[in-house]
Amino acid sequence: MKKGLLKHIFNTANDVVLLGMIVVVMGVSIWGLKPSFRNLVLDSGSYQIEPFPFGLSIHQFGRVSPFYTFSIKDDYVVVDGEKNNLIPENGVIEDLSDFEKVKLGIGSYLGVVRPSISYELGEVRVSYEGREEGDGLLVSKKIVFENRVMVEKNVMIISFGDNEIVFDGVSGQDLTGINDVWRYKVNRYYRYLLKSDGVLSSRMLVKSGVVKIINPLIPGYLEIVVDENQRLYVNRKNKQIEVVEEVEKKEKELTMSVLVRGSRIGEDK
Amino acid sequence: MNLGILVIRSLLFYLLPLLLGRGVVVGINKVNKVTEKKDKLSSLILSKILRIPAYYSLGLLIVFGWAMGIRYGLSELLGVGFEKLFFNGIWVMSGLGLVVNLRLLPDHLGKILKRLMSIFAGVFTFSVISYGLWLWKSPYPLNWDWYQHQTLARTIQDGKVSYFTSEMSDTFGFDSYPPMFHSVISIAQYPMDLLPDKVMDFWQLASFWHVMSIGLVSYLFGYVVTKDKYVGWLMVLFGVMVFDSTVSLTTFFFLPQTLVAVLFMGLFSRLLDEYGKDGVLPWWEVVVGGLALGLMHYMVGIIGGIIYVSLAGYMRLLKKWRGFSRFPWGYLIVILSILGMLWAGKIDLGYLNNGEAEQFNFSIEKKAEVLERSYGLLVYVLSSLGLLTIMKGKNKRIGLVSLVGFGLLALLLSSTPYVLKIYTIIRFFAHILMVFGLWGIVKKQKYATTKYLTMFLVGVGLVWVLISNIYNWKSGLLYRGEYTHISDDDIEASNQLFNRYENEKVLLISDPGTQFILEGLSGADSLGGAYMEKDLRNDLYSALADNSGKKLFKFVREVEDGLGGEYDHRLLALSGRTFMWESSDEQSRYSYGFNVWSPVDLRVNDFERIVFMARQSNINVFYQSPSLVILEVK
Repeated sequence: MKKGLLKHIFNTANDVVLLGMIVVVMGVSIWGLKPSFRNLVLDSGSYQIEPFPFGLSIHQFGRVSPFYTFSIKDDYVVVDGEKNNLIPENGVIEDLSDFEKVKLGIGSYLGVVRPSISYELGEVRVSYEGREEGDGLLVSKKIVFENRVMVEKNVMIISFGDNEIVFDGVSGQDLTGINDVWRYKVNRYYRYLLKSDGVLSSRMLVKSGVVKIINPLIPGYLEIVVDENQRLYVNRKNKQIEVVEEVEKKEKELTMSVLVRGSRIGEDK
Repeated sequence: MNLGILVIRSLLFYLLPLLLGRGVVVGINKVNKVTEKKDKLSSLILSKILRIPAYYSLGLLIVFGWAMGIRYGLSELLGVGFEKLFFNGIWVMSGLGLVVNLRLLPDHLGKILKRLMSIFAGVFTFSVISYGLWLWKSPYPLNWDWYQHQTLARTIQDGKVSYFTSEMSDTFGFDSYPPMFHSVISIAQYPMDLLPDKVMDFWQLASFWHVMSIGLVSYLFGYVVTKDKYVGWLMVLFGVMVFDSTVSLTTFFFLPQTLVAVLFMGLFSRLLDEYGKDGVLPWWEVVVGGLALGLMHYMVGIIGGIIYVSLAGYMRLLKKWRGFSRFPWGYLIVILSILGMLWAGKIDLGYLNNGEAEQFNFSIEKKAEVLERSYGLLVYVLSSLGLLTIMKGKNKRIGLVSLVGFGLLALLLSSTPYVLKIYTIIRFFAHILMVFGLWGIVKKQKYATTKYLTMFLVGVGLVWVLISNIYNWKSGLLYRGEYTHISDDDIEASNQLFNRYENEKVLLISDPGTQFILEGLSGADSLGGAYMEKDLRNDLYSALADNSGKKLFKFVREVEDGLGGEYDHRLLALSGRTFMWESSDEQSRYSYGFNVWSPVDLRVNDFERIVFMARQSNINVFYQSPSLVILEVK
C-alpha cells in the first residue's frame, strides 16, 4: 500500500516537473515573438484613428492623406482663469516590450484593446483613447491629477488643414467660407445644400453641436458630434474645432469624450 | 441556394475523385479476385485509410484525363461540345462509381467509422477554432488567389479548356500547373451557376475542408511515424494552429500548391507505413501518385513526386537486391544534406529570380524571420529538443522522415525561385521535428491527465502565436470595421454584372486589383486581372492621365486582351483602388507583387473626374456606389 502511494507521489511529481518544463519552453518561445509593425487602429467610414506621438490622429488608411488630430499640444484645461496646456516635455509613444506589443496586437484583433496613448506630466497623467460607439468612434481624454484641482473648463481640439470645408451638420451653415465651385460639388456629391448667412467671424459657436468636415483628398466626410453639456466652436483663424466642457468643480479625475463619425459619399445624411 | 447544398458542393471536390478512384480500384480487384491480407483490425483500418490518397489521386487523374481526352480528340471526333461531354460523362462515371462503392463497401465499415469518429470530431473542433480565428471580422475569403482559380473554373464550365492555363485566361501569365484542380472545382459548382456571393461561400467552405484535411493528414503522418496517438494529436495542433503566413500559406489557403502538399503527405504516410513493414507499394499507386502530384503543381508537386517515386523505387530495390541495402544510402544523404545546407545560401541563383520570382526570393535571415512569425521561438527550441529525440531513436520510419526532411530543408535554404512554396510540404516535417521535441517530454509523463494538460498548454501557446500572426497578416486590410480584400460594393456590382451579362462576352477593364476581383466574382473577362501585363498597365496609366476621358475610352474600345477574344460589351470600372493605383509609385504600379489589397472609397475629385468623363456620348453608367463606378463603353 505504502509502496503504491510512494509510486503515485513519485509519478505525480515527475509529471508536474515535466509539465513545468513545457510551460517554460512555451513561455520562452512566446516571449520571443516579434510584434506586428502596425499601430492599433479603429475605423469609421473611410477614416481610421490611431496613436501618434502627441495624441490620436484620424486619417484615411493606406494613402498619404491629410489628417486630423486630437493632440495634447492643442488641448487644455482652464484653472484659476488660466489656460493650461499640459504639454509633455517629450511626446513619445511609451516604449513597450515586444511581449507587450504582441499582447496589444492580440487584444486589438479580438476587440478588447483600443488605440490609446498616455503621458505622465509630473503630477498629472493624461491619456487618450478611441473606442467604437455605434458606427462612430468615441475619442476620450482622461486627466488624473495627484490632488483635487478646481477646473473651470476642459477643452478638446480637433485641428484641420487649409483645404477643409466645415459646416453645421444640421443647418448646413457654411463655417469656413466656401466658394461657389465647392458649394456646387458639395451639393452634387454629398447632397448638402450649404448656406452662407451673414459674415463669418474668426470663432463661431455651432449651436446644433454637430459639424461636418470635407477634405477633397479624403473620401467621404467626418462628422463631429458633441454632448449637450459641451459647446462646439469653429475657430477659422487657428483651423481648429474646439469642444468646450464647463466643469466648475474641484476634481481629481476628469474625462471628456467627443464622437467622430466617418461617412462615405452618397451615404444617408 | 441553401447552406446545406453549398456544403455538399464544396465537399464534392474531395468526394467525387475519391468515389471514382476507389470505384475503379475495388472494382478491378473484385474482377481479379484480389483478396486482402488478414491482419489485426487496427492495422487493417490504418491500411484502408492510408489508401485514400492513392484513390483520390486516381480520381483526379480520371477527371483531368477525361477533360483532356475530350479537349484534344473526343469533342471533335463526336462533334459534341466540351461542356456537354465533360460534365455529363463525369456524372455518369460518378454514378457508376457510387454503385460500385456501395456494393463493395470496406469490410468492418462500422468499426472503422467508430474508431475514426473521435479523430474526426477532434480535428473538426480544432479546425473550427483555427478557421474561426482566421475569419474573425473577415466576412469574405482572404485568399487573394481564389479569384483567378475561380476564373479558370468558370472558363471550363464555358467549355474553354486547354492543357495550358495561359491559353485559357490571361490571368495566368505562365503555366504553373495544368487545370486539374480547376476541373474538379468546375464539376463541384456545376450545373447551376453560382451567384458571386454563393461562389464566395463555396470557397469559404472548401477552405474549411482544406483546414480539416491538413489536420487529418497531420494526425495520419504523426501516427504512422510513431504509432502513438499523442504524437498524432500534437501534429494536429501544429497542423491546424500554425499559419505559415508568407508565400506557402498552407493552413487557410485552398490552392493547388497547398492541396498538393496534403496529397503528398497522405501518399508519403502510406509509403512510410509500408517502409516500416519492409513492404513495397503497388506499382499503380506509385505511378498514379507521382503523376497526380506532378500535374497538380509543377514546382511543389514535381519535387514531391520525385521524392515519392524515388523512395518507392528504393523500397523495391531494397526488397529485390539485398546488396543495395548494404550501401550506406542514409549516410550519403545525410552528408549531401549537410553539404547542401552549408552551400545552399551561397549558390547564386539570382539569374533565375526575375519578375515576380524576385519578390519572393528571401535571404536566409528573412526566411528565419518568416518562420519566427509563424512559430515564435518555438521553432528553434522544439526543433533542438526534437533533434535530440531523433538521435536517440531507433525507429526506421523516423530515419526516413529525417532524411527527407533535412533534404528539403537544404532546398529551402537555397535561393531557388519561389522556394518558400516548398514550405507547404516542409512544414509537416518541421512540425514532426518539433513534436518529437515535445513528445520526448510528454512520453515520460505517467498519467493521461497530465499528458492532455500538457497538450492543452501547447494548444494555448500555439493559439497565442496564431492570433498574433493573423493580426500581423490582416491588419493592413481594415476597411469599415472588417479585414477584407473586397467590399459589399464589389459583390453587389458583381451580382449585377453576372445577372446582366450572363450569356454575353464582356471585357471589363480597370486597375489590376479591381479587375482581378470583379473577374473572379462575376465571370466577366478582364485584361489579365492582377497579372495585367506591364505595357497594358502603362497604357492604362497614361490614358487615365487624360482628364477628358477621350484617351481612356479609346483605350477601352481598342484594347485586346491577351487571348484576342471578341466581346459583345466593354466595361470600364473606376474604383477608389484605381485612383490609388494611379497615384502609387512607379515601382508599385508595375509590380505583380503589389496590389491595392483592401477596398478604397472614391473621393469627391475622383467622382468629379468620372462624371466629367462620362458626359461623352456612348457612355452609360452601369453601376455606381461610394467605392466603384462601372461605365459601359459603346
